[in-house]
Formats: sequence, structure tokens, C-alpha cells
Amino acid sequence: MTQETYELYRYLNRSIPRLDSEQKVRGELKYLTDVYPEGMLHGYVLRSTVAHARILEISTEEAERAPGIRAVLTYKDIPGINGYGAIVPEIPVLAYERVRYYGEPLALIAADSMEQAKAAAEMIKVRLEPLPAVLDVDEAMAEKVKIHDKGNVARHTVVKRGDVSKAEAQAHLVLERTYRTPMQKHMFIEPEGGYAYVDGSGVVHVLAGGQSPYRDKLQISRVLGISPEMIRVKNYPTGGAFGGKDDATVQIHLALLAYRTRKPVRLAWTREESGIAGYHRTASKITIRTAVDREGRLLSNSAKIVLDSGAYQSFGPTILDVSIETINGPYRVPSYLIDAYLVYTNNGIASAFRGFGAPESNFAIESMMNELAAELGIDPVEIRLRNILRTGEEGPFGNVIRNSAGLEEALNRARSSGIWRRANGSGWIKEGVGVAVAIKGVGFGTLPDYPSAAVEVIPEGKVRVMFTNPDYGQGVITGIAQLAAERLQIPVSEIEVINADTMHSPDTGSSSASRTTLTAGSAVVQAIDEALSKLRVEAASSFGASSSEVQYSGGRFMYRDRSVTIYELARRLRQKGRSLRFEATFEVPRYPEPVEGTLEVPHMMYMYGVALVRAGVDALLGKVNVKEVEFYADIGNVINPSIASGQVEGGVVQGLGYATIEEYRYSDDGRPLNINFTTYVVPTARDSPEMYVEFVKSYDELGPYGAKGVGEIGIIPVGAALAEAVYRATGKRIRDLPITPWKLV
Amino acid sequence: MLAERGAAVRPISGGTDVMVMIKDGVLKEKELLDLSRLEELRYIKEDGELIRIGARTTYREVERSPVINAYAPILVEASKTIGSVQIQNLGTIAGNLGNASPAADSVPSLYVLEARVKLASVNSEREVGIGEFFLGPRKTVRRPDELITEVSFRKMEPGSHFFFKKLGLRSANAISIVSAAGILKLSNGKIDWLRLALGAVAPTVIRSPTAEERARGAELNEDSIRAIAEGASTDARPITDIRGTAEYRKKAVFGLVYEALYEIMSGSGKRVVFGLEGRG
Amino acid sequence: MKVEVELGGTYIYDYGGRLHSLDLPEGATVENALDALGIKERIYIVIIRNGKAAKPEDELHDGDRLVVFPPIGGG
Ligand SMILES: Cc1cc2nc3c(=O)[nH]c(=O)nc-3n(C[C@H](O)[C@H](O)[C@H](O)COP(=O)(O)OP(=O)(O)OC[C@H]3O[C@@H](n4cnc5c(N)ncnc54)[C@H](O)[C@@H]3O)c2cc1C
Repeated sequence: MTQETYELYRYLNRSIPRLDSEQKVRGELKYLTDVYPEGMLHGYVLRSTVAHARILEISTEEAERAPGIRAVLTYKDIPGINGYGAIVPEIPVLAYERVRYYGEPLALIAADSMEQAKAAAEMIKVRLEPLPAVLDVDEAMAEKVKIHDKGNVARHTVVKRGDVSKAEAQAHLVLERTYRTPMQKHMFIEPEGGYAYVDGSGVVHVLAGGQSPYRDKLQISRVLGISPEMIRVKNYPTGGAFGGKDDATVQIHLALLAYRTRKPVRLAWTREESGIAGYHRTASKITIRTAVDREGRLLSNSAKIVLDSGAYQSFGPTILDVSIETINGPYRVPSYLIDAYLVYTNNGIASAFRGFGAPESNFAIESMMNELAAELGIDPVEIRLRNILRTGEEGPFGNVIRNSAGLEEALNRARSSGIWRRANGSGWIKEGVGVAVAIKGVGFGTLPDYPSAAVEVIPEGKVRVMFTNPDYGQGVITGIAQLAAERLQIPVSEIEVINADTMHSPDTGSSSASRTTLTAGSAVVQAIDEALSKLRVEAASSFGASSSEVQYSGGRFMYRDRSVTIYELARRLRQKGRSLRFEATFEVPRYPEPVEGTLEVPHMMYMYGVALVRAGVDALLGKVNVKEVEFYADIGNVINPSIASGQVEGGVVQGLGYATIEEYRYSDDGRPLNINFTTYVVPTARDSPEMYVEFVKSYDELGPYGAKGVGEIGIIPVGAALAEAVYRATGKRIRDLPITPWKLV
Repeated sequence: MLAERGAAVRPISGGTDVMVMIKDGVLKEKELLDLSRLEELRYIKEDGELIRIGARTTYREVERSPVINAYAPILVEASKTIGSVQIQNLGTIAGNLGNASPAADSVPSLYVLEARVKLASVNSEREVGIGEFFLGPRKTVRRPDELITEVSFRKMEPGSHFFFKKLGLRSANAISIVSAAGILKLSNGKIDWLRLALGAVAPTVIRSPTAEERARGAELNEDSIRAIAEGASTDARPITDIRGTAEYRKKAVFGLVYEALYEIMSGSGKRVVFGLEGRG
Repeated sequence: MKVEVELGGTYIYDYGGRLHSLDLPEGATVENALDALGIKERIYIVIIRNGKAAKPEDELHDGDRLVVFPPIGGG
């Protein structure tokens, strides 16, 4: 199939409503934290109230004897390994010897009532010997106080090509700048939580908001020391995640409590607990030095990237990789030297967050591009057009650019936009327009990825589609249902999705890295092909024809004047006792070898975006008012335009929050300061600017029906584009986000 | 109830502050006294030169009241900036007073309206000026056995100019970083008088004597506006907190007052026109 | 019999490179291949044999291609 067949789709390129929107609008959809199982116990976590300490004692005897208490667990009660973490299992499930952040779990309690649980928590005797809290990456790298015995640098990666000093010597201009971005909280609508129980056959069921049911299951298995087969994880529906539920949150604690008590247990973090103990985006400090010739062509790029991992690693190593991959932008960079550090501090735990290291590095490279353009007197769109990689060229990490037409077109659309003429401040209101470009890989780059999905044809007239990438509000069940409908040529109403449940579906992996359309979409399409080929044989034999003579269309097989529906065939198969379920595993295309030192650089598939931001700045108050955002994106073929634009718009608003008001902060002794919606302020609907989102025509043959991904692209370029708009308005360059009013007056 | 064990009882009106306190676990009192059914305290009355607002009146009712729109439109301005529509539907001015936050957004306007607060107990009633009502953050002169029953003030002078400006980090549900309310009487391009109050720059809302003094008798021009705004900034004694630094708050006071007066000078400010709220 | 193994993610660094050719006795299982590579992990691991998920106890055949990696995930 090619781009030209675009208009022929029946169920793609269509903005059908989300399949679960009616339930959500009516308030009928129950999140897993809305479920209170009969006879349940209340789970509670006792947390550290210091940021860094040696543990001298945790005694639970008194608490265990308190009324209504069914279990009090500490590290001693963990049957398997006391560690989790998506990449390195170094995060203690329950603190052992040391406490490394404020809010670190010390003990778990299951009780008949929450009051009893809290009362028992008070009875747990905790003696801590405080250690100095290290909250700043530079201080951490000085290694005066060691957070981990191995030192404070969790990971150090150097990636280089060519001779940077030679390039700099020949350059017309070399600029060096330091950029900073803050920690950002996900602030999803549903805090981390869910429930768990053990069934009659000993299987531990964990039903909790999450992004990666199979990874959760394996993480639970390691800690419980029981086979993964004895664990079931369900993540649908989840009330928002944005990366903050990609690594385990409540799942392991829930499993431990249910496993121990053999009773249903509910554990749901309060908003404040989520604020304290939930993950956040890595803060970054990036010093970048870029050399260009007279025409603004990049000659070299060197960068020292420092990401604040917090107390443990979680996804830090691959976040560091994405920040490395992003620091060269979508540009031709003949030589570069990237020196990247993931550093421990006592600032909670940083983990995945929409963009996954890309917004951090993007702010640096795209601000640099804008600064270079200004220094050289070149139009900021033009300088990018001069530098972007074109199809067939080799990218900075040895990857061949397969399809860059979309970015070029997006930049051309941005150049001819009317927004540039609409900047017209007056008096103390100064206005400016800024631009930035984003590139983001889809999927896990060079990490092997083999998503499996299943379909089941149900004689009663439905096709059940099963995959595990959770729909936590992005609309993936709808998009995948549309893909399935297209493949089967049957209405979306005949598709039934079972989402994110290890009991029903093979492992399609996580909802992360903008990968669900590519992975679940491709695996589902493949499973459907598998189903159709089996059903075709069945149909052929019933027609007395050979398979190749049988036609398929609109849910029926046809031969001459006879036809049979897939449902009738399924009924016959069922009578014969044959399986109606068909599985397939998709091998995600990737470059075989990661760039030395990295785990996942480079990617093979990229999405692109160009953001134009028009902002007014009140010169007396320093207040930034974002008036208008235009976003041109290449996300491949668009399955559902309204859901896709929603993703971009949501990303843009989250990016504007990140760029203007959001900043997760700790006190000098390492206590988180803004842990709820009163103190951690996010933009409201009223703060949303006028938005225009356009998807340039694009088709990537590696994706299902030419689709790529969309979830992360919106947030990435917003910071740099806004900083440029502010510069154009005021002449002030802000190199550390967020652009709060006090930085501008 | 209040008379017997007032100190242990917390009145609750719209609950938009009290519920947050309960959730944060900072409410000391064990009992709540629900005022929400006290319909007799839900009124906006014209009483000669005075306007009286009952303690149970919500922001929404203030915004929609023809009387307030005609005679105290500054309070409409302020009410519209409070929280969001949901908060305006529930929240009351009395609650804003009772909560005694230095960043309370109806209070600067009440300062420049020179409002009086009526406090009543089972067997007494008294009125205090708005300036004496507040003692500090979360502290007022209200005795445990008293309720706030009414806020009253004189109608604004016809033709007077007014403003309420608030600077928050976002457009809705934002706590003021700083705020300013002003009423200004002009005749022949000269300022007869200015009443100016500032929020979130001191332990309570304050009037700005320096700005008011500089305004008296001055021509309204860019120089005087600058001088007045600088006066306001001098009077501000802000602190640094998560919403802004002290230094920034002083600058922001200048900005808010400057912008507000400039708008009046250039004819785009708001003005009291009896019967309806009018522009310049 | 000959079995080709491709390691992914952190295993590339932990177990001596990406590609490994193993010579295993007839009847060997996936587990034997993991042992031969020094990989101890049995839970937090994904094993793909000839394009499909496999388990440690699965028997191997000459010419099988394994891809083995921890389910770490990235972005
Ligand atoms: C999301 C949100 C946004 C908000 N935004 C703003 C804002 O922009 N600006 C702003 O100023 N405020 C804001 N607030 C705070 C609050 O809405 C206001 O202070 C409101 O005026 C409180 O009124 P209430 O009737 O809800 O008070 P309540 O919560 O019922 O009471 C507040 C206090 O006043 C006392 N009290 C109430 N009535 C009486 C009475 N008759 N006699 C004696 N004591 C009494 C109570 O005991 C309590 O101490 C916001 C609150 C929320 C939750």
C-alpha cells in the first residue's frame, strides 16, 4: 500500500469518537482506584520523612499487635529480591540500610480500616541517622557525600564522531551556552493506585493503573519470588500516566500485601503521596557548544549533558540515551562529542515522562539554533532548512534517514504561516513569534522489541482484539480498533478490544515511546492476517475450491456466487473444537547495533514537529501570555485526526506548563514543596492558546498503514519556541525553564 | 453553639477554604457550624448611601447583582477573578474575610470601599472597619462566639474610576502573587484623591499611604503615574515564597499600579456610571 | 547443533557483545543456551526464538535463532 491509496481507507483517516468516551463523559467508567473489593483490606505505606539517612532501626512489633492489623511488612518480609526498576533493579521495594529520598517506603501495612493502618504506622519505631541531602547535580558529581557506595554517577556515556576541535578551528562562529530544564510532575488525573487479590488457585491478581502490564508482572515476580505465571496484571483503564506509571508504582506493594494476607487489598496513593513519592521528569543541565560556517551550516556540536536521576535509576539510562540522540536535532552534524551523565541526588526518583529526555535536549539544541540564527542574521526557519537531513542521507548516529520529506514540508508550511505577521504588541505588551523543530524516535530504537497480539473471531458477530499497551487516555483502543476494522473491512462497532490484561492478551509491551500504533497496530494487523489465512482455508474447503480462488471482502469470503461470513466460519470451527484465537508476533524494525555505550541509539522511525509560538510579554510584570501556537507535524498516516490533534494539543499545553509555570521543587533539606494541585500549578483550559495543528502528508511503510506515532511530539519543541518568542518580544534570552515572570523583570 | 464552645467550632459557609483545610489536615477545630442554610444572611441591600451584603452572599450573586454593578462595580471586577466559576458559585465574601489570607482577592476592593464588617454573637453586635478587622495572616478580631453577618460600604461616587488587578501564575484558580485595587476621583485631569490597596505584599492587605499621598492633587500624566506606582512599591513589604520572590513582588506592584493608572489616563479604564458599569 | 544468539539492551555490555554462535548438544534447551552465555536471570528476561516468545525449558533445534534481552524499555 502506498500514500496514493490514502483516500480509499474506510476506517482510517477518520475522526470517530473514542470508544470509551461516552462512558467517561457520563462518569460511568471506573478507574481501578474506583473499585473497592468486598472484604478488602486497606493498604498503607509508611514513608521516610527525611531525604537521606542511615537506617538504624525499624521495629514493627507493637504495630503488628495493633487492632485491625493484618500485616506489617518491612524489607525483611520480601520473599524474592528487594529491588525493582525497569532497567536496573536497584530501587528498594522497602528501604534497607539507607533512605535516599523523602517519601521512600519503609514499611507496608494492611489493615481492616485506613484509620487502623495509620494508627499502626505511628507505632512503628523508626530510628534514622540523618545524612546530608544532596540536591544539586554539581554537588553530587563532586562526590563529597556518596548517595550510593559506587558513587554518584549512575551512568556516563561518551559518544563522538569526527574531530570537533578541527571543525571549531575552521568555523565562522562557535557559540557555547548552558541550558537548564526543571523537574516536572505528571499530574495525571488519577493518582497511582489499584487493588490486588489472590484467587483460589493461588494466582496473584494486581489491577492497578500502569503502562506496562507484562513488565509489571515480571517485576512483581522477581520480588515475590514466584513464577510470572502465578501473576496477573491488568492496567485498563488508567486515568492518565504520561510516563509516570511506566515503571512500577503501587503494583509490587499491592502484590506483597495480597500475597501475605491472602485477602483483597486496596492501595491508592493520595494526591500528596503521588506528589511526594511519584516519579517526575529528569531535571537537566546541558552545556552545548556549536560551530557553524558563515551560512549557518553546522560543523560540529559538543555537549555535556547532565540529567538528575534522583535517588535511583528507573528509566534513567534510556532517558539519557534519548537525550543524547536528541542533542543533534534532525540535523546534519559532521562532527560531535557528547559527554552525558546520569547523576544521583536525593531528589525523589526521576523516570519516564512524555518525550523521555527529548524535551530536555531539545530545549538546548533548538535554543542554540535560534541563538545562532540571531547571531548570523539568518531567518530561524531558514537556518533549519539549511541543516535538516534529507532522505537517503546518513544521520549523526549512522542511521540512514528514510523519510524526511515531512519535516521539510512542515518547515515550509511554518515559513509561510501568517503567524509571523500577527506579532503586534503595543505599550508594555511586547509580542514575538518563536520557532523550534522536534524530532523523536518511535519505539525503543535498537532495543529488541517483539510485540505480540491476539484476535479472536466470535461467532456471535464480533472480533475481539487483544493487546497490552494500556489506554490511559490517549485513545489507543480506538486507533487500534480502526486499524483492525480496516484490515478486516468490517465496521469498528464489530471490534471489541480487551486492553492491558496479561490474563487475556499476549505481551504487546508498554504504552510508551509513542510506540503503541506501531507495535500493537502492526501485531494486530498480523494477527488478523493469520486469522484470515486460516479462515480462508476453512472457507475454501467448504466451497470445494482452493484458497487462492477465494476472495475476501467486508467480512466475507466469496467464491463464484457463494459466500460465507467470518462469523459463520468461526461457528463451524468452534463446532469442530478448533481455536478461534489467532496470535502473531511482530518484529519491530531496528538497526541491529546500538551506538557504542548506548542501549537504544539510534531509532529507525522518527516523527517530526515544528512549533510556532506567538507570545505576549508584559514588560512591567514579566508575565508571558501565549496567544497562539501552530504545530506542523509529520506523524505518518493519520489514523484518527481528532485523537491525533488532541495528542498534539495536549502535548503543547503540557509543554507550555513546563516552559512557563511548572517546576517541581525541594526544600534545602530535600522535602518536596509542591505536591498537589494547589502548590504545583498546571495550566488550565483558560490558559490554552489558540491552536492550529496540521499533519503534513506522510506515509511510513514500516508502520501499520503508513502510521508512525504521535503521543510525545507535541511537548518537545514548545520550550525552545516559547523562549525564542520571548526573546523576540523582549530581547531577553531565557536559558533556564520555566520562564517565570521574575526572570523577565 | 458558638457561645458555648466557640473556640472548638469552625463556621463553614461555601466551604471552599474549609474543605481544603480539612483535606490538608490543618483544621484544628473538631466541629463545623454549617451556615449554608442561613437564608436570612443571603442578601444585597441598598440602604440609602450604603450597600449591605449578607454573609451568605456568593461571588456569583455579587457579579449578577444590579445594585453592585451600579454602585460598587469594583467588587464585580474582583469577584470575577476569584478561582473559577465553580468557586464563585460557592464562595462568599464573608468566607474570604474569615479566611484572612493576605492574598484574598475581594479584600483589596473592600479596603478601598472602606467597608465595615459586622460581627454578631448571641447577645452582642459590633462593626469594625475593614482595616481593623485583620490582625495578620489567618488572624482577625472575630471572637470565637461571633459570626460575620454583613459587610457594608458607601456607594462609589458617580464618575469615579476604579480597577482591580491581580497577577497570578495562570488564568483561573490562581492565588495572587500580588493584587491591587484602586478608586480614583479625577476632576479636570487632576486627581482629587486615590484610594489604593495592595494584596499579598504584607501580612494583611494594606492601603498604600505613599501612593495615595503622591496622587492627591496631581495631574494624571506619565510622571505622576510612575511616582504613584513607585510609592505603592515602596509601601509593599512582601516576602519570598513559592509563588514569587519579595524583590519581584515589589516590581510587580509597580507594574500593576502603573498599568492600571495608565489605562485610566488613556481612557480605557473603568468608571462608575450609576445604573450601569461604563467605560472611560 | 548450532544456535545463533543475539543479545539486546544491557546484555550486550554484560555478556560480551551482541552476537554469539553457540554449539550445543542435541536436546539442549533455551536454558542451556542461557547458561552457556553466563546469563543467570530467568524471570526478568525476554527470549524470542525464531520470531516468537519462548521459555527457558523449550527445546532448541539446529539453526534456531534466539534474541535474548531484558524487558527494559526505553523511549
Ligand atoms: C480552587 C480554588 C480557587 C480559589 N481561588 C481563589 C481566588 O482566586 N481568590 C481568593 O481570594 N480566594 C480563592 N479561593 C479561596 C476561597 O474560595 C475564598 O477565600 C472564598 O471567599 C471562601 O469563601 P467560603 O464561603 O467558601 O468560605 P469557607 O471555606 O466556608 O470559610 C472560610 C473561612 O471563613 C470562615 N467563615 C466563613 N463564613 C463565616 C462567617 N459568616 N462568620 C465567621 N467566619 C466565617 C470559616 O470559618 C473559614 O475560616 C479559592 C479556593 C479554591 C478551592
